[in-house]
Amino acid sequence: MGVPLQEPTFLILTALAGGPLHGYGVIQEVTRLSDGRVVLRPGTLYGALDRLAEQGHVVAEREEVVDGRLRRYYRLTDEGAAVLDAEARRLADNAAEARRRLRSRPATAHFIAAAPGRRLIAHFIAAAFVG
Amino acid sequence: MEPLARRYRRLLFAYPDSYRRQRGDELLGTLLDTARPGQRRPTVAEATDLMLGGLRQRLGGSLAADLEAGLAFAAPFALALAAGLGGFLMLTVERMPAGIHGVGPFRTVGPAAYAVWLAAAALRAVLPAGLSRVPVAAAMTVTAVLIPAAVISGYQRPPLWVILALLGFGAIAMAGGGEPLTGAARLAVPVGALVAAALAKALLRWQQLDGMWWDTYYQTAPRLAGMVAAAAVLGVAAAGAVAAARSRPARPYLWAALLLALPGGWLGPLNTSPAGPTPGIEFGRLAEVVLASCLVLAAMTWLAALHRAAHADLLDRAGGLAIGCAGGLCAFLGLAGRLLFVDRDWQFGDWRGYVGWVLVAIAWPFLAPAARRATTVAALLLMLLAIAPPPGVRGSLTVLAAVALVAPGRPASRIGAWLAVPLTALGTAAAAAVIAVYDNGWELTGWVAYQQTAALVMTVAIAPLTVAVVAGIRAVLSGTRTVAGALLVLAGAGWIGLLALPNLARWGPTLLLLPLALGAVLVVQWVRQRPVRVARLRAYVDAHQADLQSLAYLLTGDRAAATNLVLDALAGAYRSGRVEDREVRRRLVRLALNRSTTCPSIVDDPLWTAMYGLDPARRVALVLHVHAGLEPPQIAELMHRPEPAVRRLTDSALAELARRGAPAK
Repeated sequence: MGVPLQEPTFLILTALAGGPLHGYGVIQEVTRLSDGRVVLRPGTLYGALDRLAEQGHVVAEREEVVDGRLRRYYRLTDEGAAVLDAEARRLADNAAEARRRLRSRPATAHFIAAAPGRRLIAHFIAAAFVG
Repeated sequence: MEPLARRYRRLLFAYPDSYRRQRGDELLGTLLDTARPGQRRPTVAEATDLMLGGLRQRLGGSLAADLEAGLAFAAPFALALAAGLGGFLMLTVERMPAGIHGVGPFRTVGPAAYAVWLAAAALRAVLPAGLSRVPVAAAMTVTAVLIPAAVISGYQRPPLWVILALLGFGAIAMAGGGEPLTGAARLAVPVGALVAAALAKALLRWQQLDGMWWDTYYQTAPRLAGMVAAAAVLGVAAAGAVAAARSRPARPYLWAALLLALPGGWLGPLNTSPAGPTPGIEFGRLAEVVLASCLVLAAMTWLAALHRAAHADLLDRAGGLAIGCAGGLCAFLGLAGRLLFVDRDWQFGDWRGYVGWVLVAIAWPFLAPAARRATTVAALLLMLLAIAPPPGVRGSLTVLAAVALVAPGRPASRIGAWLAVPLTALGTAAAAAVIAVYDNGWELTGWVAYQQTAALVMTVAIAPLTVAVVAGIRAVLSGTRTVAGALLVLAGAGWIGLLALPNLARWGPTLLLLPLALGAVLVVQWVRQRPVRVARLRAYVDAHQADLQSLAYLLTGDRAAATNLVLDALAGAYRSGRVEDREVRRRLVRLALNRSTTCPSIVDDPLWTAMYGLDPARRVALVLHVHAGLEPPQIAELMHRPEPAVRRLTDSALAELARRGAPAK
């Protein structure tokens, strides 16, 4: 706790706050929550779910097979709920502070160029070490 | 299966086997859920997503992120070092005394590239982020073109290692560059280049060499530049130590230090190899460079291994690599000795001294471990009996054979295991050919001194021996196969040390500084993390002790032995830094496989009595299946064996029990 959650993580936890969901359910719910701005892909989703499960924020609850497709349902744990709550509080505080300051002075936009090439190269070097 | 599902399934091969077994069906189900109606193929975006997901799984989290941060941190250093090195060389080594002419006022064609490096460093201050890689690319291109340009024009060129080091620094600057800079940060690279050049120049003056070595080509100058590179490496590593001391992540700094040390190490060493044919092997500059690179790469793999489950099977691969290297070297030396050298029979020895190694390397994947040992011994004897390779070559081959004998590995099962040894042999032979061509003045045939070339070519053996040492250290540290590990360390490090130590004083600075710097950072990190590790262990023990104890009791049949087993497994997991349930259980099972058991005295059941009379592998498999209620995939993972083998074990254990007249469950 204490570290800000990334937006997809935050949205996944929020989606699960309404009750247990399977993978596809989470994807749909996150899309809806973000008004279509965040569309999770399965690889990303399961990466995040694995991490959250490892941290004890979600647990796999039950499985069912629909149309020959395995669906595993994930549930928010109490710990996960606490993390989500803390994060929501933090975001609300930030937003309130931002609004307060915006009322008093104008803000300037600041663009930071990304360096996408480096990320790809790092991935490939890293892959070479894993063999 | 419908075509879309089949194609998705193929993409899921991006994930590690074990993950795919556990989660593959679920992932596939979700993929099919998200597919558009009527979709027949995965989209590019889906494929990319799965590739990245699989990569992330294989990397086990943050390795790529650390590396990325390390590259970004190292990039300005790399560019400043390359430009500083260029400026230093241009102003000192390259400047010819008045009246003597080379390439204009310079000795070699090198300054053409050095000037572009200096310009690239200067432009870093003014160009916008999007264009900042362009001058570096230009400098790298000009540097690479120096080699053909020197050949065509007939002028001298800078030594190969200087060119390669510049290209190495350039690669780091390219990969990690592109960061937008503001304010004073813009000046960092040009100022760094000036500082690097001035430091090297000061060293030169300190050594009182300024102006008096124009007749020695490049001999000492790259070494001084290497000192400056080593200082940069140390500085970056020190930043890592400070970060670790303040409980901030130190790994990006370590990556940056290692990345810089790789080309930095190529600048360091003087040529220590004796001129003329020598009967034994002595390490020359090539060996020093290879060894420095191997050390850095070993440190990198070690750092990478901190992120994920260690390759327990590195020890199993070490022998195959060693024998592949021996086979490749002998294939080259035997063939070249017969065909390419002017003195065919002189010092080359008997072809039978070589052929055994080649045959063993070819047969290796098809043989069982015992047969691998036997054939290695046969090749060794054949070499010693035949009037064979020069003594130094014989020594290196013997050490490689020792590694193969200690770690013959497992029977090949996956495609990678089948190909590893032949590919190693081919790669070694190719590297040997390049080195031999280089050693014989870039001539393709008609080579002269067989012994000298053979000694130089044997340098390649450093690579598999380093792997053996790393595998050995890991095995010793993790407490599994300690004896084999220690033998590997002794063989590899002993041989390399024997050849390297006599000339150590003349070696480049990086090689000495690097382990020192790394060691310091790691010690700091270790000390800082100790309380965390202890707390984690305590929490784990509190939560799982009862489970572990009962599993161990089932496996050993004795309460005291079970406690010992649990403690050993916990200690091993703690030492390896991975106190996780899966790891502890795996260790528990592995330890149980090597221990004798007694039937629990309190049990009066013929099935139990019979079960504890089985051999360890079948007993453990059966206990895990019948009493711990595990399924074959889980047992396979715990026992570190393939699933079909586990099924066979449990089946034959049950059959054995039935045969002994016990009622099978």
